[in-house]
This record gives sequence, C-alpha cells and structure tokens, in this order.
Amino acid sequence: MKKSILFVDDERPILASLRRAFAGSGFEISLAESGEEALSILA
Amino acid sequence: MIFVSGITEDGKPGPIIEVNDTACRMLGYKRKELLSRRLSELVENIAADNMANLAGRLLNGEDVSCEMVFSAKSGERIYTDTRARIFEYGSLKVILTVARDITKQKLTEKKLTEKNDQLTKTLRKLEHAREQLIYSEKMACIGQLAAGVAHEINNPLGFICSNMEITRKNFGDFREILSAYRDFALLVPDLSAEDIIEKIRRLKALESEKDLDFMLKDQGDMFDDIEDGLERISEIVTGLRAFARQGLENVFEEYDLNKGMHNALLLARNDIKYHADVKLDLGEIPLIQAISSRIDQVLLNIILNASSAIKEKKMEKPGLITITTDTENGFVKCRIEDNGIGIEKKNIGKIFDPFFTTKPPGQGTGLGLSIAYDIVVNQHGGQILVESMPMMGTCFTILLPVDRQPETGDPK
Repeated sequence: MKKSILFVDDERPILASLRRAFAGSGFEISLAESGEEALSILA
Repeated sequence: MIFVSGITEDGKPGPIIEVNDTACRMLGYKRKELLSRRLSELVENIAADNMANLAGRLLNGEDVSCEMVFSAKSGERIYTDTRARIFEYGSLKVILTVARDITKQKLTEKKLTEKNDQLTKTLRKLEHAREQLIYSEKMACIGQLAAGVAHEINNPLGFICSNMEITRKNFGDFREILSAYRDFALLVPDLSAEDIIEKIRRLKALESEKDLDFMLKDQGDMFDDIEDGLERISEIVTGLRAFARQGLENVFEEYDLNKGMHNALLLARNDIKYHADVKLDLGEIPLIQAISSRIDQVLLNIILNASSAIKEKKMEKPGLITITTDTENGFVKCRIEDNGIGIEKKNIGKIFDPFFTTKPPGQGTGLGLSIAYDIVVNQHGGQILVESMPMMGTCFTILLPVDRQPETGDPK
C-alpha cells in the first residue's frame, strides 16, 4: 500500500506549497484546513 | 548714597568733593578716603569708555540714569539705581550723583531667574521622561506582539520559499520542453510526413511526462500565492514600521481612524485569532487631526487588553471583540468591546492610574492605560471612557475631536 501523509494547517497557501513539494515523492498526500477536517479524513 | 563731584578745567568729571554718611557706611570707607577719589574708581560694572560717554552726556546738560555696581572696601558689591545731573552750587558747577541701593532686589531677581531656569530644565526633563515613557510602553507592546508578528511573517515566507523552489524546478522542465520544440522546428523542413507525426507524438509524450498542462496552471496559482504572501509580509512590516517610528511624535496630521484600526488589528491578529473573533463595524467617519503614531498606540493597546481579557476568562468557545466607529457632535467615536473577564468594581476607578495592574509582576507595566489616557485626553483633547461588568466584558469608548484642540492639562 502507498504510504500517505496528511498535512493540517489553517493556511491554504501553505498546504498548496506542501502538496507541490511532495508531488512525485511517491506518498499519497491529503490536506486538511482544520482539526475537524483532519479527523474526518482519518475516520 | 549721594556724591558731589567737581568738574575739571577741561570739562571732565573731577574728584569727589562731598559724600553723605550713608555712602561712607555702605562703601566702608572713611569720608576722607573717598574725597579726592573719582566716582569711576568705585564703579565696577561700567567700562572706562562707557563711563566717558555717560560723563559726556552729563556735561552736555542731560540727566543720566543707569545701573551702577559699586565695589565696597570689603569687596562686596552694591547694586544701585543711579541718577546724575549737573548742579549749580553758587557759581560752582558740580555733578550730583544719587545712587539708590537695590542690592536686595537684585539678588532676589537673580535667585528668581536661577529658580526659573531650574524649573524650565526640570520641565524639559519631565517632558522628555514622558516621551520616553510613552515610547517604552509602545516598545513593550511591540515586544508582546513580536512572537505573533514573527509568525505572521514566517508563514507566508515559508510558502513563498517553497513555491520559489518549485518554480525553479518547473522552469527547468519548461526549458527542456521548449528546447525539444526548437530542435523540432529546425528539423521540420527536412522531415517526411511520417517523421513529423512521430516527432510530434514524442513531444506530446514529453509534455505529459512532465505534466505540462498541470504545471502551467499550477504555476499561475503559485504566482498568485507568492504575490499574496509578499503582500501580507509587506503590510505587516509597514504596520510595524508606522507603529515603531519615533520621529514626528508631536506632529498633528490628518488621521484615518478606520485605517488606524485596520493597522492595529493587523499587528494584533496573531494575538487574537486563536481565541477570539473580531466583528468590525466601521462607519463613515471624517479624517481627524491627530498624532498618528500615538493614536495607533492607543488602539493597539486597547485591542490587546480586550484580547487578554478574553484569554483570561478561559472560555470553551472563541470570544468576541466588537469594534465600531461612528461620529458624534464633532467627535469621532470608537468603541472596543469584549466579552472577556471584565474589571472588578473595586478596580474600575484605578485602571487609568499609572502602574496599576492586576497582572502578576513581570507581565505588563501598568502603564498602558495611563498612557492611553494621557494621549487621548491631554494630548488630543478627547475622552476615554470605560464600562465593565465582571465576567461579562468590558467596553472602552474613545472620543477624539475632529478638529485639533489645544493641549489641556485638565481631565475634563
């Protein structure tokens, strides 16, 4: 299974830059703009 | 003191020919020691040429009056208000000089001048100390904000750097694709139709290998993000600089209170955002005459107070800071209301006192509100009012005159 990373930050541009930085790294990338959103992704 | 002097044959003031007892007593000479001396020998504050000038006017028939300082035998100085005139003494013309002792008056005057100088110096020192105090309180405020402001700058800086790095990598890919197209363009005239189709197929493959379409779209998004980030950094640096500048501290200029509020919120944003929401209701208000950096300081101070009142209440839900601006009878009015911990009744009369603070030692100087009061009331002729209910919240109202008011030392 593909290893995954979940990024959580309240600033969208930061999430976008992290997604770009890890594009092509082989990880599956998930982004969340809040704690609630992160929890719902993990559920 | 009365002196009678003769006139020499060539028309100049001659030796003293008579003095009264008072003159002998005050100068400490025996009568015969004074006789035959010249008056000018006893006077120390008038130079020889000035004395000759006075004598000239005197002998021309003018009445002469001036301040003369006599030197007594003991060396003591006797200040006098002196008048002299020609007097006909039978057939003899003499000079009559009457010198009234004003030494006491002079010394008092001198002491007064000295005291006055001292007071002026003290006042200047006090004014300087006041400026320094306001400035250091302002710096303390910035200190309190420093970590938050650093965070506000660091966040955009982080994604700008990261986006720049990716932009550089993208640029490498763009360049590779572009040079493949250029090579192709050079070859086209010599290629057969099949070759052309094959080359184009390879170019397309290169494009999709590099994910060109996505890269083009994403590069645009990146530039937008970089631009927004730079804007945010530049705003906060501008706000900080406007706030920290020490020049022009006493210059009244046109001031936009709504803009000042916006600036203060920008600096306080990080201090507020994790535990309170801000509701802004800024009305249409005229520009006022004010010392910009001072009013900025007051606004920031009160906003930070509201923020810490909410923090101290330790609520589960975020608190609320409501800010409104408005006009009222030649004043602009600004209310900053929080639903924080409130001020205890016994303290409400003391909050504008210097050094009054309920915070533990080391946190807060107790000067913030006393300085805000000084700035609003004394420097701008405005008013600053407070209403508060313990555990319910606090509301500060600041009233600032639209036109400049002369500085008053008086609270009301």
